[in-house]
Amino acid sequence: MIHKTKNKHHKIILAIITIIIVATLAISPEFYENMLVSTDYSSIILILAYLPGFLILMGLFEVWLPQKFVMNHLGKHSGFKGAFYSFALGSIMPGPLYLAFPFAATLLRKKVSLFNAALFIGAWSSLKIGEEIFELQFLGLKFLLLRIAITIPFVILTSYIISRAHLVRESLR
Amino acid sequence: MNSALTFNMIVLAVFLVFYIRNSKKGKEVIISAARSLKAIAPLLIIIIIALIFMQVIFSEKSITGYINEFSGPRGYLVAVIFGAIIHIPMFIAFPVGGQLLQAGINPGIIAVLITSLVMVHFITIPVEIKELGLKFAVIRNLLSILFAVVIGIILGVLY
Repeated sequence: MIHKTKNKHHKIILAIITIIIVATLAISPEFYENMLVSTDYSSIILILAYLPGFLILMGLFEVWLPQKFVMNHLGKHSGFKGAFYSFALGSIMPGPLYLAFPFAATLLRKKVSLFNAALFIGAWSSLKIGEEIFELQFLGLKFLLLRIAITIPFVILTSYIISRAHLVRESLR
Repeated sequence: MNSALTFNMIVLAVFLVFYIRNSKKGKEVIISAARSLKAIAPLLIIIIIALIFMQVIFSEKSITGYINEFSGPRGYLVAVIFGAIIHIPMFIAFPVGGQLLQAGINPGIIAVLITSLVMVHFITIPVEIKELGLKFAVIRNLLSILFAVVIGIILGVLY
């Protein structure tokens, strides 16, 4: 579902950057020459090297974990099991965060608890299983484990606050 | 490089297993991957340009003093605001974070930036309000901003 990423803004930014580069290239070609020669391309090559596997993995998640299946599955469970499934599925589902909101609204209509729906959004936004390979590669195992271990309690706390205060529009309560 | 190769091989093997079981769905996977690539291509190019320019900026000696100035509370504040405004997918945020880590920036600040990047999205707040209500959107984003800073401070101490 990454293909639902809206890229209109990105295209505009890219066009502006291109214009700036072309304009400054005319003024000082040496600057770019030096820059391109001295640049360490290893991190860029690494991103591109991981990209094919990553995109296929996201495709696999999307095709074999259709939204309908996830929603029906989540609706059935409550208590600890429901919370666990909400978190797990939130972190597996690929795609940008704004797709999680209509998804969570549908979950609420299916009588999934507000706590679990908020947990689903929290997991979707903070921990993406498929993308962790990039965190491991670029920031290291220590950073990855620390960040996840520290983030999860706060995701739970946020969901708890939201569900205790019933912070959702009335039609979904 | 070897780990990237291993990762690609494992994904390819899993994909082939699924493809053999159901070739129609297998083709859908390929189409989905191709569309994703098309959708993220402009952003990917922007990030590659940014990564090249970041190296130039960080190679300047004068910038080191500048970074030290932002390693305290001000750095956390800048990181959280930057993360809330900018909107990039997680897998692209990590290489940028890695670059900053190499440049000697406090890991706590990088954690704040990443957490804020992924959890707080000012641009998509209208969608959040429409689907889940004003209170949900405002409180979730405010809590995420607050917790992004707290998460970063804890990580900075423990790292």
